[in-house]
Amino acid sequence: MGNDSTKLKGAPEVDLGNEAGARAMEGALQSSFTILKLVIAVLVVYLIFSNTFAVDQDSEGAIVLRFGQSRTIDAEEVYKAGIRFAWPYPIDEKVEIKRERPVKSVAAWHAPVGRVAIGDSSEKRKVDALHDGYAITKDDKIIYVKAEMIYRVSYPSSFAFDFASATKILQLILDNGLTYSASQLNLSEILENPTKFAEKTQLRAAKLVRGYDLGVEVAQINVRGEDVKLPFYTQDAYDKINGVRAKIENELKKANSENEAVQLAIGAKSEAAETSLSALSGEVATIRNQANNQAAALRASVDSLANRFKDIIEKYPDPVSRRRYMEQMYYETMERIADNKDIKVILVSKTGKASPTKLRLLINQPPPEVEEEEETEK
Amino acid sequence: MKKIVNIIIFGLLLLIFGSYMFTFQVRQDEIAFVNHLGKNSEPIIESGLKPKWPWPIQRVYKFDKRIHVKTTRYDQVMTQNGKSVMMQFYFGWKIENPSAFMSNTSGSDSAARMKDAEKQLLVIVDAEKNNQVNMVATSFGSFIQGEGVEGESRVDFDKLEKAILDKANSKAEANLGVEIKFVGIRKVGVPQGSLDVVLEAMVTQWTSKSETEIHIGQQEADAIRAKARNDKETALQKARAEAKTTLAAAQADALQQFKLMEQDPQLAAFLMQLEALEKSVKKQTTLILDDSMGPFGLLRGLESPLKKDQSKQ
Repeated sequence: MGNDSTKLKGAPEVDLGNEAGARAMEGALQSSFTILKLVIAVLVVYLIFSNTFAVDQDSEGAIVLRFGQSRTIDAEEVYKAGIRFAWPYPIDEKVEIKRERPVKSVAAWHAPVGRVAIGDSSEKRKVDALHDGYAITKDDKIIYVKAEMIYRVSYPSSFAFDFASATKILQLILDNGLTYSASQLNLSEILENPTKFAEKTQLRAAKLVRGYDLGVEVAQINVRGEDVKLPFYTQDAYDKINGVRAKIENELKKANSENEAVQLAIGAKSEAAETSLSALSGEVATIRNQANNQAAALRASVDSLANRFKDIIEKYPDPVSRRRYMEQMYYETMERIADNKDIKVILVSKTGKASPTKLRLLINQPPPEVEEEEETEK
Repeated sequence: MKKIVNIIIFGLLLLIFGSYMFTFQVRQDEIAFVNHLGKNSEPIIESGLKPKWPWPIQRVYKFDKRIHVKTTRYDQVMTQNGKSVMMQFYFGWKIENPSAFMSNTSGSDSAARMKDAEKQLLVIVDAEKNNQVNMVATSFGSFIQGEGVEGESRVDFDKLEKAILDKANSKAEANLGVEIKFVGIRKVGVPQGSLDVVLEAMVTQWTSKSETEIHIGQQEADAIRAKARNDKETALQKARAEAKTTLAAAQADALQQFKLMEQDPQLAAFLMQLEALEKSVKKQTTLILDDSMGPFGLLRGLESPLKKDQSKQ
């Protein structure tokens, strides 16, 4: 490089331009090489750390294999949160494991409506033995049911390296659980209590999971109300029963309320009511009240009469004076009647015995006004 | 410096290509065979980095030694009584004897051999499934735990699964070098014809049940109403009887009072008449009297009632 510079110094002025270009070129190449080296260095660093990863707390775990052999199988270390270093493949390989996952079973659920021939309406759609899934209950009924199972990986090594498709096996276990549980319960039990059905399915699934050494625990099985359904063809008939029950309940309610009203009216609802007339109502109370009122009125009237009689006897022990007093009472009464402006007294002359005058007492009969007017005109 | 860098890069490239050509990796969930000029080596079960000669001298076959799962077809299985049931099973299997597996399966590569193994296993499990179901089940009813199903003909899922597993596993081990780890029932159903019958039976049963329930309910409601009517009638009769008794008691009391008034019956009658007269003559009443009545007798100069009585006496 130094020799080249010496040569350039002695060269004619015309070559000065070439020298400057060469220098510029050299400078450019040098900077390019520097950038290239930097890029290579960055790539090497990236390559080294390309397999480095982070593990989330509680939700996931990871096992690092070095030349195909796992370095850790302890669950605690697998699920330990933080950054893990691993050399690039093929030296190290990471296997990620989700700690808790759901699997769903639709093996006992009908095919999507419209996929198979459904006839004129969905109500008439029967179960298709080949395309529809279904379960059969203890009481020999067909039912559609689906479920979701949440599993937790407790032995990550077994789960990841002992089974080619642990999730698929878990799904089949759930299918098995649904078929088994349905055969153990009646239709009404499943329809009315899906939770009980889910619990039974969970017991079965947990047993199978243990038996297969899957390295997982069944955390929960969910069967919601809408996950249990009757075949379309039978739905109407089943709904009718519920409709009938509601109708019967309504009818019984009406009958009972009628009965209660009767019992209340006759006073049989409480002993106290029987003894208290005021507490009674209805026809019975009316009859009782009427009788009591009549009896009371009779007693009052007779008592008043007796008292009056007694008073007169005591006051007028002599029959003659008593007769006079009676006459006095009679005239006083007649006077009161005659004085009453609301009462009209018409006096007629008494005829002979052959054609006696007939007397009539007209009570509450207002005399016709028109006739009166006519009479006055006459 | 440049030379050193070049040497390092060359060395690294040599290492990478050399390791691909002269080594292979066995994962802990794999089994490997090295085929040396057409002859298979002993299975390599230990995981790690292993040496090999490059192709075409040596060729490596790797198999997944994990448990694989396979489902049978959902098809008809005959029971003891000649009735058919629709069933689907699943089973988990793994390579137990790699040498036997290699010699009893065919295929150009590992995947093809695994598929061949699955195909053969399906035949074995299907055959055992048919045999065992035929032995234990009499009809579809054997698979449900209904009240009408006798104890002996009732199929225990666990026992059936185990019986199929035991039989199929012994065949699979002997014929394929494969171990069947588990067998399970996925689905149980009935053929289309029987399915339609079951559906019709459900509809018929529920229709009949709803009719019966409405009949019973109506009867119950009628009974409640009839009882209410009866109770009401009884209560009314009782009340009427009580009313009669009450009135009779009042009349008896009145009779006692009337007996006291027997000392002057005329006075008693007079008082009663007077009271009746006053009560009956109220507003808007017209009285038509002749001149012999009441004080009007004076108009004729008649004797007073008192004088009459005196004359009688």
